[in-house]
Amino acid sequence: MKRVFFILTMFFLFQNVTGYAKILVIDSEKQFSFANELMQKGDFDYAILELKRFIYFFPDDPKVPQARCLIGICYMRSGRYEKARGIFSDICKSHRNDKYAQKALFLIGESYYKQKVFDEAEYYFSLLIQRFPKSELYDDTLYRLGWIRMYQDKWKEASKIFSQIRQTSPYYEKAKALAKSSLKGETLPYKSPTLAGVLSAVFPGAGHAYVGRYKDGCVAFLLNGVFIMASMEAFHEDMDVMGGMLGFLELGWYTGSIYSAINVTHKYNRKLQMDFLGRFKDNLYIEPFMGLNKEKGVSIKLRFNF
Amino acid sequence: MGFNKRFIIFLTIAIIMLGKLGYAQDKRDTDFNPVGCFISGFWRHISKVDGKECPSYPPCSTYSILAFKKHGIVMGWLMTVDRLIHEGKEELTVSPMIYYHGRMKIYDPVENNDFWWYKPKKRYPRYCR
Repeated sequence: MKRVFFILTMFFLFQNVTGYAKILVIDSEKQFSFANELMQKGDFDYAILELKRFIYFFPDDPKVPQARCLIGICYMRSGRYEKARGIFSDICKSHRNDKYAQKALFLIGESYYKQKVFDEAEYYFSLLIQRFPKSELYDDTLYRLGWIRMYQDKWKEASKIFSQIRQTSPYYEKAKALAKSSLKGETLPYKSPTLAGVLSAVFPGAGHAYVGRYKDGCVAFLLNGVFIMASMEAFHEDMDVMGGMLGFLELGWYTGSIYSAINVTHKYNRKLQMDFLGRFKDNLYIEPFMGLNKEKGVSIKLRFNF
Repeated sequence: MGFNKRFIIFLTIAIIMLGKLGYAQDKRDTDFNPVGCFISGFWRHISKVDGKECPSYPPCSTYSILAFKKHGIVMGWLMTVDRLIHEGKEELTVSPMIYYHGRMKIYDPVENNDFWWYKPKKRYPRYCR
């Protein structure tokens, strides 16, 4: 009897212990904040997984559109831009006129901006302003359009756009400074690729020297000089075929060195522009980008560093 | 046989042999280009010597093949000459360095030298219409 009593006692005791240890209740808030935490740590793949789990288990939660946006952002932050745009496009379709449609448009533009496909980025930012002129992302969009203009070497237009950013915007001070300093881009000491090409055509190597590449200029001059001399010598010695072949090769070197002079000038100008742009900080804050209603819960601060 | 004749014969044989070798390696390519094939074959032999010593990445031989494939004979040739001229240290002022196979190299791909005239015609889908 004692043995039976002992066995029964142990059975109930163990059942309780194991049962207690296995039960874990996760509500939508916990699931969402866990996904956010992963995202902020940079574990984008796990964050996507947890956000998808959130959408699956809590399909009626008001944060579902937010979670979808975050999935897109995770894809974008991990460099999978096409996938990100697919997500934002779906959000656009399902939220045609609300704040999520605005965000989706902005983020599509942002994804192109990050890829340096400026024409496409401009299209979506302009579409956002055109379709939602009272959007709370209006100033962010202008700020981005200003930067696009700077990358496109349109300094005056950039300055004009920056000066349109409203005083209420957190970007106001930064934009004001950019409106002023971006105009300095007009005075960058660019070199003329045409002049470099002409100089190289007249005197091989001179185009390279024009952009300060004296060694390259010497190489171009020597290569052309040697081939011209060899060709002339061959003709002089009545070796017409040899002379013709050397002349043909020289034509290649000659045109190649003109191309090279133009190319290095373009590279020089690009470096100049990038160095100038590098002086400015392009920090786009969207704060808090997803927790807009300031409801109780998680708010996310996103920082785009470029 | 005069020098000119011998030179022509030698050059013709060299072109045929190198072209054939190039073709043997490129025969899986769907778009066969005899001149491109010759150049490809030629550079493949050069690249064995060139690859380790070239201060740039991709090495000049690979760069040349890529340029010919991307832009054809005329522009490919111009870009190859350009690369041979600007390969030196002065390129460092406008191009970044990368670590490749245990050495620092100047990163100078084809896109770094055609960006000012070649814009790939990529059509992007229009979202959110």
